[in-house]
Amino acid sequence: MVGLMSTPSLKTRVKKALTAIQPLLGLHGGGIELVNITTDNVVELRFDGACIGCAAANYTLEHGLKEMLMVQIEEIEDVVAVNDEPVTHQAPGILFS
Amino acid sequence: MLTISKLQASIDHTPILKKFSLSIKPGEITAIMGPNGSGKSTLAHVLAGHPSYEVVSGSAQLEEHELLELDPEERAARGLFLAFQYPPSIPGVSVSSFLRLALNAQEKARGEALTPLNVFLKTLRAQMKQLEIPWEFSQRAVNEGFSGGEKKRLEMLQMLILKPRLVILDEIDSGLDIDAIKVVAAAVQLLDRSRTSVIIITHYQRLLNYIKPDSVHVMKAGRLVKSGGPELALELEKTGYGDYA
Repeated sequence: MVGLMSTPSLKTRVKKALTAIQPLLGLHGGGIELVNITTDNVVELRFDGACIGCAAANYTLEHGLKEMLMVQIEEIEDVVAVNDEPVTHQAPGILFS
Repeated sequence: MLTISKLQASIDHTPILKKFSLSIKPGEITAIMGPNGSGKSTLAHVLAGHPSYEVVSGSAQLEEHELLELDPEERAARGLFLAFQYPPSIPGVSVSSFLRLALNAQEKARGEALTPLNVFLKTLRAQMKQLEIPWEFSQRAVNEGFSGGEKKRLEMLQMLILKPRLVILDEIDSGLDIDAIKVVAAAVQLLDRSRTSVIIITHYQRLLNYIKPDSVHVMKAGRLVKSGGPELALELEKTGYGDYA
């Protein structure tokens, strides 16, 4: 019975939080998945779909995703993206002159 | 720490502060009391840089900075913190984002490294715990639908996060119940007294039952007319402002 009451693992909680965030990225045809959580509690994510190569992906991470996860889950020390694809396109909805 | 010298200020050409002078030492808690219309709140507004007031002459030196020559946001970055009587709400901006942006903006203005998110959140969690504010509060929109007590909790949280050099609490006790007053008092106790001075502007002695001032000054018609220790506040509670009105 004690097991039923204990806090879910960090990985489970991160996954749950990401599931809640997915629809926001889905609006732009993108997505996010958990790759790894390091021993010092750095969450490594990979952007999927239209987020790959998107110029706004890093901004989304730094000014949205990171804070969303870290305010919910106290143990997280940082959130980083492992994507290394070059920027190929702008975010939808941004106009350029 | 703060030296106000012969400060004269007016609103709509009506003089309010008349050669007002006051010195505050580092870590000193000083109370400024006085009847309505004596110029207490004007002093707070002029120090913060409220555009409705015209500074005619005098100076207000906060450490090496002449406050009166700075824009309001520069005064804040140099360590001035004025708790709002009626803080505005900011829909769509969470308390935690607001506090972090405010802190980072001040750090940027001072040319300091920005506090990273993980460090900021740890500090915020610790400060909220000390003030007995539940973590959910940090995710609510700034002041939106907040009770009077909740608004004051956020003001106090802001004060602790920004680590100011000079805190001005202008009539912060007006309309507050005892629990909210205790939150204000607890927050003031948490300030680093080695670097932070406090000016408490109040009409009543009540708040001073919870925050013990080192010095008390009475204002009348834009000037200080009497100065003393905490006993002066108690004396005023008994006699009222009759002698000063």
